Amino acid sequence: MSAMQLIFLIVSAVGLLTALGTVLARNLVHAALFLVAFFFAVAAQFVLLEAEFLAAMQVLVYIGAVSILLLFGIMLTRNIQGDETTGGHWAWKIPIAVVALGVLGVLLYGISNERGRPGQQSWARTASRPGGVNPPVGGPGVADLSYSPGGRHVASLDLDGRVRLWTPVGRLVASLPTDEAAGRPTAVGFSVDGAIVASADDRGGVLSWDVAGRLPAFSRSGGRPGRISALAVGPERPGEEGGRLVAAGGADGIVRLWGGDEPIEVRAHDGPIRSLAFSPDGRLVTLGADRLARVLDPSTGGVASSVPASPPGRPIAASAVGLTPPPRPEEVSGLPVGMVGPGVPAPPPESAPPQPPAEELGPDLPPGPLAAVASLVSGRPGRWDLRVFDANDGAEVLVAEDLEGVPIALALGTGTGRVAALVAPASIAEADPGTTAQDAPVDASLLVWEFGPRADDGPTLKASPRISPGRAVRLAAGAEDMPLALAPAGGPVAFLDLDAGAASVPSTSASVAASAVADMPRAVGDELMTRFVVPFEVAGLLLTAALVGAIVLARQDVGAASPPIGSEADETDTPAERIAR
Amino acid sequence: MNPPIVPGPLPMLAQARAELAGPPWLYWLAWLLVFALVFPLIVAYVVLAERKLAGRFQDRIGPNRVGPFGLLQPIADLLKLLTKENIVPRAADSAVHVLAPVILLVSSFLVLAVIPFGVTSTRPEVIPFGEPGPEGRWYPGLAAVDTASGLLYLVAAASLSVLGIFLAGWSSRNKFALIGSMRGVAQLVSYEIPQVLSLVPVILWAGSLSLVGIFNAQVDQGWFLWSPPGLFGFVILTIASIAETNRAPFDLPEAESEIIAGYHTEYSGMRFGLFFLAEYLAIFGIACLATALFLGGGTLPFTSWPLGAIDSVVLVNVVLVGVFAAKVAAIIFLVFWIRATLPRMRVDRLMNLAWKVLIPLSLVNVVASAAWLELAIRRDRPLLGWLLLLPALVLTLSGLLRLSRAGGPAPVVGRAEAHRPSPAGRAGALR
Repeated sequence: MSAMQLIFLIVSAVGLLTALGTVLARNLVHAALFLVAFFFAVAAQFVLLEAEFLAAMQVLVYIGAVSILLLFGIMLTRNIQGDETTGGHWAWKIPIAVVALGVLGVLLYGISNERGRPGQQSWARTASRPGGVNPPVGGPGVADLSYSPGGRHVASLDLDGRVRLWTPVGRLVASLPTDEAAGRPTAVGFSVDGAIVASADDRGGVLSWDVAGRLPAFSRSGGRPGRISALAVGPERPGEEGGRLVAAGGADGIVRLWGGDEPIEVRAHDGPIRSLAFSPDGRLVTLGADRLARVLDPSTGGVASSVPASPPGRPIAASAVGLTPPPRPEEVSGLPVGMVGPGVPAPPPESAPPQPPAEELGPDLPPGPLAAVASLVSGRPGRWDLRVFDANDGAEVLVAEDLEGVPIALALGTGTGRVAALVAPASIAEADPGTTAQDAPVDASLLVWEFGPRADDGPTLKASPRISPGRAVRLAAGAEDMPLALAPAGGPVAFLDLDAGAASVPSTSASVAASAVADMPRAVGDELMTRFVVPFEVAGLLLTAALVGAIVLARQDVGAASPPIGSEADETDTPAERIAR
Repeated sequence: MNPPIVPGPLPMLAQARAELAGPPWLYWLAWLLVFALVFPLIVAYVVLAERKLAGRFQDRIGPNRVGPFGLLQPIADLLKLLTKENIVPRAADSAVHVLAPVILLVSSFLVLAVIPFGVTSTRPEVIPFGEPGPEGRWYPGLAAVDTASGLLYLVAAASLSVLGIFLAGWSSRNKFALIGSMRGVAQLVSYEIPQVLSLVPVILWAGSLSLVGIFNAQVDQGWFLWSPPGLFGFVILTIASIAETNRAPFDLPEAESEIIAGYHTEYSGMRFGLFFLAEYLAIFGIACLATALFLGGGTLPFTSWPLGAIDSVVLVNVVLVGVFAAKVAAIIFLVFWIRATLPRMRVDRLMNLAWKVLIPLSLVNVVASAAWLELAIRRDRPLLGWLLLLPALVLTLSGLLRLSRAGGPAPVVGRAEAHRPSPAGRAGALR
């Protein structure tokens, strides 16, 4: 248990106890004091969520105003010292108890059964993300998923023909329509600098948008028609005709390379191209189902290098290509001409993410481009190997052999030494693949390895709780802290973050805590507003109503018990004056 | 435009700057020491200063027996308070009775956590939160905590003192204490509004709720005091803050000639000492707040001189903290001066001042500060701003003062009966 969890437990216990004290205290002022302590505990929870603005507001509004008003109200009653304890006839308590227990039941049911009000999201959607940071979002089913290299956006290509841009915390930024008449979109990808997002369809056409302006940027077509299975957009090329390089890898093993309007076609693989990426120096890395990783030179269309991705006889189950970006150059001036080269990412200023200094990323990682391949061990169903290697020379960075399960999807973090795999249990390898098996939920688990010098001694393994996506699932990994985006077939996109900041590797399902991903304060604010404030408001309203009810009851009892104070008291007499007399 | 940064004159001090960067626990330990020792010590000598100054104002000498010039008097007072018996009245609510001074003290301490007394680096750095802007805009402040919503936190922490005062009076089972706490709550709630509204111009001009951000904005734009809304805001803040700390002429909650000692009548020994400490800590806190918000923190007027000119953090902080302390001392002197000069207000006039003058005036001041933002800060026409806004604000103030007195003097209980001829019934009974 980490220190934060301990603090959370203490604060929660204090909050619950003070809430109980509020309703059980016989003295009104004591009840109000317990209420103040409860508000303070809620403020402390906000601080734990790094929502300090909300915490200050909680203290200011609830303690500084609401509870003072309550105390002031108590002072204006005759029961000013709380001598007559609260309580009423049992007939009064029954409806209040019914209402209170009913609201408690609604809250418990809604939170534990993950149900929300009709038409709204539930307060807690999945057990894998207990924290309040990463809400699940999504359009109607996702065909492909891609993380921008800077980690600022996730693009999902949805089955309704739209490309949606999300922030890593699940806020929808843009919804871009594709030309559905041209073809069904099948792949989505970002440019190397993250400024352009592009989608490709099953007839070989490519559409692209400017990420910052959400405007269409360019379109490419004219290549050999066929289903595009992987897409990549190259860096900006100032001074050259034709703009950015666009590479689309088809299911037919042909890479269509657009330097201008007409594509060059390179037969790169025998079989579908599984992954495709531009390295920052402008070369193209492809990974095909023929168990080869190739580096292409786009200027000539020739194959620069070719390394085996998996040993012979081992089919590739899942693969990913990731890049280790070079150290960021010094920004000399605002002139784009001076700083943009073929290998230099030049993000537009308005979309530039707050990137960490380059020295944290660059030198201690393998120079890349890297490819990760999960290959099945033939003859032994339910066993697989993981290899992460340099696509240029085949030098192995990480090897994990004889793993159990069936890999479904693989993602390689850009700029991080991590690879994540979504693994289904070994039993599905023997199961009879029926007609509905493709869409049936699979009880999969997520494994994360660290490699490179940042992993201290040997590859570290992290495991997540089990999740249940379908078999046709897409996984994408972002930069830096490696937030993961997961798109099960037909379901909404879910965002995971395994990096809870703990160095140890817990193996139980309770170990994965959600932590903030990119823009933490806004994420927490959004999340609190949508998820936590509502139950707390209900609970606070409930407590306030209970207090007001208690005050009303107390007044009634006192009014019935004691006659008016004296014949000298007139209407303008305040309690203070009465006491003074 | 700025002079080039030259190395500090003493290489040793320049070295000390590098040693300022220590492990985080050292940082927190240092601040804990400051909060546990330095601030109470400052407060003890503020009390001594008040006693000496009050003596001078009343043509006396003041305490001069313990130590040279009476300098050890606070320590003698502390020992006296510590050794006295703590009495809890039998009928009192003992738990709440103990809790109340603690809440008050905590509220006073929390306020000081976000005040930037100096800088921790002589070179501007990137803003630690908010939108990533151009680099090199932000001197990190010498504050215990620098949060993005610091001013809001400060207001929230200050609002806790109402709770302490109420509970102290309520738990004592004493009618004078209860009257004192009711007066106190009514007064504090009323004066909190103009106090918070007078901060709005600062937030508007600095564009930040962080007190370090406000300090940096004043390094850029000059003191916020040098503008008509800033001047009015400073005065409103000072008046409301004096009322918030229950100082004369707003000391009705503890008016000793009417209700003994108000809400802390039943406290003795060190618990009374906690109230005492909290009150003077609050005075110190509001002086620091006014300095940080309107008087440019530790900067000198019309120049950002030590910043950008001296490279040694220690030397810069010697200047900044020294100037800060001088400003705080001046404000505290002003508070003592007002106490020695003005008589206590009546309850109705107290409420009239808050609700009929200060709150409308601070609302108008918010509008004026928006006009100042457009005229002087964005368009660089400060002269026009002064010519337009100063007469407008002065006119508003005089109008509000007239309006608040329009109903004539408030009726005083007992006065009407004293002047009116005896009613017939009573006269008949007398015969």
